Amino acid sequence: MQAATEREGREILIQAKHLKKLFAVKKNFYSRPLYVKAVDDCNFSIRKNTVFGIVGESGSGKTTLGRVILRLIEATNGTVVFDDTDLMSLSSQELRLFRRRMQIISQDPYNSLHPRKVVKKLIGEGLQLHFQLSSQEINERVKHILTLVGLREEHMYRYPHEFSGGQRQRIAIARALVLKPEFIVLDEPTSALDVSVQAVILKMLKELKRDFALTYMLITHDLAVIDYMADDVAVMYLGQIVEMGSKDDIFLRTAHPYARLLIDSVPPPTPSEHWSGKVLSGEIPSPIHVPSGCRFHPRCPQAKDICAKEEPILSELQPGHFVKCHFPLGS
Amino acid sequence: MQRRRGDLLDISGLKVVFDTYAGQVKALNGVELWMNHGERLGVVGETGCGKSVTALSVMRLIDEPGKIIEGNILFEGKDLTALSEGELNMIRGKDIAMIFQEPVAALNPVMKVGAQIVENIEWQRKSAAQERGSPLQTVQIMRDMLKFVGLDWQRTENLYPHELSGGMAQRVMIAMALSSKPKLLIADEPTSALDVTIQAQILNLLNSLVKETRTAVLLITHAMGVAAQFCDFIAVMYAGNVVEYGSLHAIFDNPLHPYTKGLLKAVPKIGRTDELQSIPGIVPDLIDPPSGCRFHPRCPHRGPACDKAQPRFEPVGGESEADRHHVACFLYQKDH
Repeated sequence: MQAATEREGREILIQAKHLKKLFAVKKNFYSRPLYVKAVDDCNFSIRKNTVFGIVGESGSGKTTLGRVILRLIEATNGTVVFDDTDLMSLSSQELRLFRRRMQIISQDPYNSLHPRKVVKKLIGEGLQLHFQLSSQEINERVKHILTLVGLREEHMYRYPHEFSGGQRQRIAIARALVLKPEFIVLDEPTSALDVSVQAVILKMLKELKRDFALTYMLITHDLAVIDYMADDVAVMYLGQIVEMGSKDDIFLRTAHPYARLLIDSVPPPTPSEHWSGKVLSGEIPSPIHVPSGCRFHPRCPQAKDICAKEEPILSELQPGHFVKCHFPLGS
Repeated sequence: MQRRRGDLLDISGLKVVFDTYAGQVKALNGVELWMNHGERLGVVGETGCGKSVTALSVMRLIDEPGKIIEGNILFEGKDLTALSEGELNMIRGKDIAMIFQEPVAALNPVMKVGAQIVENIEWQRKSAAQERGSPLQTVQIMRDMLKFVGLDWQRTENLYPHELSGGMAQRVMIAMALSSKPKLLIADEPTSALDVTIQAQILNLLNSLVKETRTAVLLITHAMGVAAQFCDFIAVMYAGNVVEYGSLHAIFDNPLHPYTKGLLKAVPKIGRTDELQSIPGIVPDLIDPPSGCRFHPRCPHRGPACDKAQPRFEPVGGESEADRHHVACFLYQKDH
């Protein structure tokens, strides 16, 4: 109960309602389009100064969701309220003012930086656009932000190819951070990095969040990273949120069979811990022809007749702990 | 002549270099590794530490501009570094098979899956100078192999690789690799490109298959979880050297090398509450590697000798023989 009061104690920064994104695909020019349901009716809210983790297999729609929130992709349906402003109703000019407040750091530090711009230009471009600062001021701010992310002043005039993967991810973080955003979408920020580098970057992201009162939406397929970073977690399957709650709700009081199997399929990195090796059979179905009823029923070990016929609703088990299942575990 | 340490594979003092315009990349700097029949050895380490080069050296697949300049690779007593291409082809794909990280890229894109496996079985027969079985027999073996890896042969044999999902393609690769009943299976990051749920399926499958066939596995991975749950022995590599080698228990419960310790503390784990520790510094450039112990610039226990000579790879005293615990670090050298 204490957790619930604490939950309500924090202001909500982002609220998403009935978010939907369909991508039309055509087999050939004349055929009727079919729709990939990349994000299908997602509702959630992100509290200020917390980390909201999104986890799921590839093809579950996590990345699309992150982009739809920022309006980098236009949603088919639904609203996103960012600090009392409905992002979906903004004109492109109004949206541009908002861009400063919300940033994204993407997975691949090798492709997300312009190869022919020096670091100073990469980081300073946003400052020029949003604040119209003099070049001297830009210089100062870029210098300052570089030291914050663990790079040095002399790195300002180098090109991205001169840096290692971890250093490039630091540049990407500096670029996002220099605009003093409130909200950052971290799309698999460490998946392309080695574990020792990953540890450095994750720690740094945590410290920056504390120092700058940031709010993160962390998208990853790595449950251990979610457990290390997140306060709240949503588990996605085929474009839908199937379970959502605090980190402890998801890891200790898991209610959805899919979330349970996902957690169990991670081999623990200590041999003394026995790995149940319980295996989720089958593979994620095509998001074009989604299964009837509960989308997880063809792979679910405890599916019953009703699961194939009726789609469960995302219902609140405990305050703040939501699950989309007819027969949630532990009840 | 040193006594043979492993009856299946014994790599000693292996040095591999690549000549590039920027200079000579000293990729392997005296690798020591060994394993017995039926054992599962995990090679772990970060990008660029030489895991894959070690695996390719065993297959003698190091191509220009790379070459093996020193060391031996004994496979059942035969030195693979001294064999001719013809003799190697009797071993490759037959006694030693390999599966790769990107299974779809490793298959022939314009050939049906079934036909690829059949081709492999026929090739094995030819190279072993066995008489050719009837085509029907070969097809039957192919179908059994597909069944063996949990695929429906009626559906799968007529598919092209692009029609397979990553998990299915890796199963096909495993079917093909095991069709020749190899003594050693080299798996180079077999699950790194797959989702965790599919990774668990493939690991379980590999686990039961190699137990059944008593195939030894050399598993290359950067995922500590995969190594911890699948292997009997672990070799930790850093910048072209095996810095620590031993049983699963020895490496995870009693790590000695500062790099191994750092690596284990950097791995996030579900339910872990302590802060992650990182290793300061970055992986060295192997064109101009640090002198002495290649880890010394990043090592928290660096001493005066560390940048002068390379530490010997020596057994750790006081532990049981079965642990095979070896480490290359001056902290544990008796005469130091």
